[in-house]
Amino acid sequence: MNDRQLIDQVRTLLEPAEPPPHLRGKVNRMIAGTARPARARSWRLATVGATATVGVLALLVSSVVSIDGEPPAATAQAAEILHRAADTARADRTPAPRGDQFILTTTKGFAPVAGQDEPATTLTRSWKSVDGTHDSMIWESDPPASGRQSTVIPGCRNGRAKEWGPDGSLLNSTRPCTPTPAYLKNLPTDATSMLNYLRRMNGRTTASDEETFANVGELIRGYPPAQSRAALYEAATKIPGVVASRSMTDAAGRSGTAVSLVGNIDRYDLIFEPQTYRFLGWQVVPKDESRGPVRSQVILSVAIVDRAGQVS
Amino acid sequence: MLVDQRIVAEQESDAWYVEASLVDHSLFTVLYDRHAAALYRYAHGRVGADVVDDLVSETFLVAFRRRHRYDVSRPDARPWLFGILTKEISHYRRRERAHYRAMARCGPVDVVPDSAEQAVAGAAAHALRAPLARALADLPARDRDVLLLIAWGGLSYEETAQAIGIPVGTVRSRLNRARRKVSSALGGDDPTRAVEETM
Repeated sequence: MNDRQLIDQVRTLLEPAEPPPHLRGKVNRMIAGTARPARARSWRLATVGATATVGVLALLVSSVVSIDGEPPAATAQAAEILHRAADTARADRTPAPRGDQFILTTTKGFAPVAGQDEPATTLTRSWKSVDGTHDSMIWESDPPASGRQSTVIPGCRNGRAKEWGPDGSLLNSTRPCTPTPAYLKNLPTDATSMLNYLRRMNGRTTASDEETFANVGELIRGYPPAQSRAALYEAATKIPGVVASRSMTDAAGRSGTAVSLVGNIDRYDLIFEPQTYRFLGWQVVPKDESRGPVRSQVILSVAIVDRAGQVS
Repeated sequence: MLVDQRIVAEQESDAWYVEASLVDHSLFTVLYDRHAAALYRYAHGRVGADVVDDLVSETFLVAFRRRHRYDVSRPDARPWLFGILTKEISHYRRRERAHYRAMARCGPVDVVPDSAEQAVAGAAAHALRAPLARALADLPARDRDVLLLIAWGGLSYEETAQAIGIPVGTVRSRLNRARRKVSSALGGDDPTRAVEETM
């Protein structure tokens, strides 16, 4: 097979599809909406939630400055929040989960609905096997029409895991595998190594600041051990562009103290309980909040449970 | 007047319209009319019918907001738009990762940033072509982006390089790597031959 043959073969996979006629009008309206003066949009912001607006303002006023040629890192306020959260994490004496337990991550997603102002929400629960050898499971409150509500993710036992059917069901055939534990017990425990780890998570090239901060959210999802969690928060103090919001309401309506990074398209918020500095949530929200919490994703909780399917 | 405008619309480059839209927003629609079909088909193949509308409209919105940074020495805006769409798709993947990551075969550390299974969701429906679809799904995201921008987006190597901001040589090497992986996944080709061909 040469490059041309590969391209030709791959091309045959692409099904014909045409933009629906209404899309042109939608794009034009969106562009017209953007071009309009800010006044028209501030009303929408108010409807999203007054506290959310405060959060955004706080983000805007804290700018990142390079001092004496040092590379810019998180702002002082953000670093302070993160250090406190690290202290809280370090003091956590909860024992490590057992191999036969599950990490339950609950997320809430907001998706736009055509012809409707309010976005649709979906609650997703994922139970992932701590040691990777047990069957994990995903549950969705509102699966897409063609999808299933619960999906079992086969664990890897004795080097074999069940195969997927095209519809997401499990087949009797197996494939070779290596267990992928959900609980990462060998994560770095100091800030510098953790930062290096975050920068390299995406592959061989060094991740951008935005990707690096986004990777914090990826690790948070997996219930990192207390010492690594502390290192994670401290590593975040070294990421340029990370700013503080003393008070922020997440898309699910919960308030906390947050550190954030505004990326190209999305904003990433790591939210803590304001008094205890315990992890409260992580969210990815579109940078342009004028459109409401559309396409936001919030991690509501990360917990350890005994069985897949067990809610608390 | 209308006739005159249409003549202009046919003659002027994308770059002209990007620049003109700084003054008259409505002129940006010309870019939609010229490129929406190609972007839509590509995005449809990548993410499926449920979210394609959203990703394509978002792509044009982002393009519109960044139009003042457009390099007007490039008459054709297609690589630029595909570049934005590629970023949009990868952001979308990141948002969906909670779900996808668990579905995919890899663990949270040996990261394949894109979702494997879902990357070619539509294509996998064709039972006959399932092995090829699966081989594509197993490619690292950056290799898959290059391959699909060329095969599905219809971009040249140079345009692909522009779209994702990498040298043309890197496009070639990623494509080459993708080909070797796909060949070996399909079990067809002798891998040594694949290596020789690249020399």
